[in-house]
Amino acid sequence: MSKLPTPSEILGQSFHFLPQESQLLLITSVLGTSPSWLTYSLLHHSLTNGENVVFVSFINEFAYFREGGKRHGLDLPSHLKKGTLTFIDGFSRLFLPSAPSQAPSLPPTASAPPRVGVIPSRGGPITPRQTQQPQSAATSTDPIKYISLGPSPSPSALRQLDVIKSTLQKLGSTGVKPKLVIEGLEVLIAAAGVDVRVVEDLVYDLREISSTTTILLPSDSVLLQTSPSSTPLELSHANLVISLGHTADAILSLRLLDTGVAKDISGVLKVTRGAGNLGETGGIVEEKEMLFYESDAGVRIFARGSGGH
Amino acid sequence: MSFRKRSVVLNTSGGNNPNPTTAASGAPPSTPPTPPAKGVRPSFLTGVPTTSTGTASLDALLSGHEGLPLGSMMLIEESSTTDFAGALLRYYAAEGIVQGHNVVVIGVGEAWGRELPGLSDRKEDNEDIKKKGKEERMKIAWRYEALGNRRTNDSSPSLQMGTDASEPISLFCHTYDLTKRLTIPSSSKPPTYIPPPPPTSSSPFSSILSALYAILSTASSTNTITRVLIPNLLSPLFYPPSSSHPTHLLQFIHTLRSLTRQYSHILTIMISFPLPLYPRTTGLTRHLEHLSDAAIELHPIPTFLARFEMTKSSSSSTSTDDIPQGLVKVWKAIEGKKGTGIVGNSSKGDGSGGVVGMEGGDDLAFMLTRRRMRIERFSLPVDEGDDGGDGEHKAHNPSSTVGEGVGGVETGKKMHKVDLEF
Repeated sequence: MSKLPTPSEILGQSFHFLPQESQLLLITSVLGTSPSWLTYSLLHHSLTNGENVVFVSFINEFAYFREGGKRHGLDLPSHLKKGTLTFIDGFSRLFLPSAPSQAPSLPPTASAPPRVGVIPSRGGPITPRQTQQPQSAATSTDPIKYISLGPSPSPSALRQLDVIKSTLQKLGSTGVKPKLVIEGLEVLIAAAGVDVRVVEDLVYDLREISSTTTILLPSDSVLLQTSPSSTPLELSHANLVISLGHTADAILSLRLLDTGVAKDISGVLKVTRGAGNLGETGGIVEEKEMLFYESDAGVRIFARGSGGH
Repeated sequence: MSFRKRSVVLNTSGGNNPNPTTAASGAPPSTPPTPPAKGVRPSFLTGVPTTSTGTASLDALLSGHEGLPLGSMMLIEESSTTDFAGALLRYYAAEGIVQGHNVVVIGVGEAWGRELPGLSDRKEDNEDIKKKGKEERMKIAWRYEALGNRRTNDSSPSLQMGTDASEPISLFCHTYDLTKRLTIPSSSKPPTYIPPPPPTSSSPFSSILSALYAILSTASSTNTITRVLIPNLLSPLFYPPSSSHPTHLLQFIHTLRSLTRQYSHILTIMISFPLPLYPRTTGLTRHLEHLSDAAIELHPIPTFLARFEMTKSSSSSTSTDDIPQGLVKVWKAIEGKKGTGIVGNSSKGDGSGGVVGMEGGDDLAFMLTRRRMRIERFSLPVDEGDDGGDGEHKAHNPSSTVGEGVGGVETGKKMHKVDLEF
């Protein structure tokens, strides 16, 4: 089995102070680095400790994480079955015409109906039904819930996102708030045209009903550095990343090695303390910069100059 | 090596799992059918089914898979007004047609498809490439080469016979000749063309998508490997202005990405994208790259050509095949294995080594000759530069002709040396 660094190795001892109310952990990455291993590390930690995790992805399907998790010795399907993991798939059907829950686990047949023409008003009447349906379907057969905004997302279609909220609330009603991992929020802004304030509001709402929220976002300089010629696309992305960065309790950022290409280094992992309230509760995120290397044998993090051997 | 690793993981996950049927039922039936479809072979790295891009050297670049994994989307950017990316796409289409795959061309008219390169009938082309590829891979990662041979023989036992009898049907990747035109074999379907969006449309890509859904659902029922090509995405020649609106474009690309996952047993997509119109410094292009599985940039540099023309006139030994026309930058590499987040790196030991997603790692170049396109390590021009310096020296040298002759031989030697040293 390939080895992954544990969250406390990454975040320092203060990680143990993390599982509190509405913590926010921001993970940023650039093109060419994949933050998946950080996700697996966090999931592994939470799931083996028996915590409930709600995992939302707008850019990958469950099979992707299933395969990746398997490689790192993380059996996501069994956690899914046990109910400790809830996967909300905002990727597979996000812009497909809302398909009723028919054979969702059989991909090849799933998109047979979308041949139907694209009618903008379609989102309206269907929305309420859709919000109910994934839930009922989820409890009965398919543990994966789907978000579908339809081919031309209207503001009313955003109610689809409530499935995240209701899932969290349902899990939280037992007393312990679940953890939340969201990947690909940028898709909502960039592709679905959702206003950045709506997304930020959504994050705040979700943080209230979850314990630790982990958000993964791309942070390429192209997307963050705004100039007078920036389009709303870049401005709203920068807005989202920066505002989340300012409220986060810790920021993990992955980037490529500044000096170019190295054979035994995949990139740089930087841990930064956010402006959040972690300090008040005893834990302090130790700010540091480490190198990481992803290989067949797993991921290793090591200090600069230690060679990683 | 990857064999052992994988089996370990499988065992462990099986051991961890108190009830192995859970994993089994959770996993969809493994995609590769027992007799793999034509033009599909398992990845050398992970065993996922892959198909050829039609360009052997591009296949070799794909993180050790030696082919484009089914269910992936590749973005080819071109930072000039040239059409080198178009050549790659045409090879990809031609390979699909020769292999009897379903080829879908989006946005451009049938005229585009009339210029597909024909199969090369020069025997040496095939042999040359194979020999060369073997030589290089033997040097770089002999164990993968051995693996590759075995796999190739397994998946196409008639390979030897095929090349000998000049019946290259069983090949994974054919050699094409740009000077020829492809005649569509009777066993293959002609490409399907999806017209570009109408000029006035509030949702420009919806017509394309609905056509694509229809094609894919029929292809899926017959298990036909489908290749989708989008040449010059967003080129104003074909696409209305509204299509470059981020929400329209990115929604389209996001949907394509979800389609590649949904039809991961049959579908590959290749897109070429003009960077001069949408530079990499824009968020739009970056989002596009994030949503693709692989992104490479072709960066033509005309001066290489000029310099080589100069040296060619002096030393006839330099073959035109060795003239790079530009650099290839790999911005995003196909992941080594689905879900690992591991992109090709040194452990894969092939050309994808060092260039993966690394900004500034300019050590690949492409060469498009009249006959074929290749992507190779870019090490020669450095030598050429030195040579140019030598040339200047020689200008002062009275016996310049002899000097140049020697220089030519030296170039040859150097090239060989560079080839050897990895």
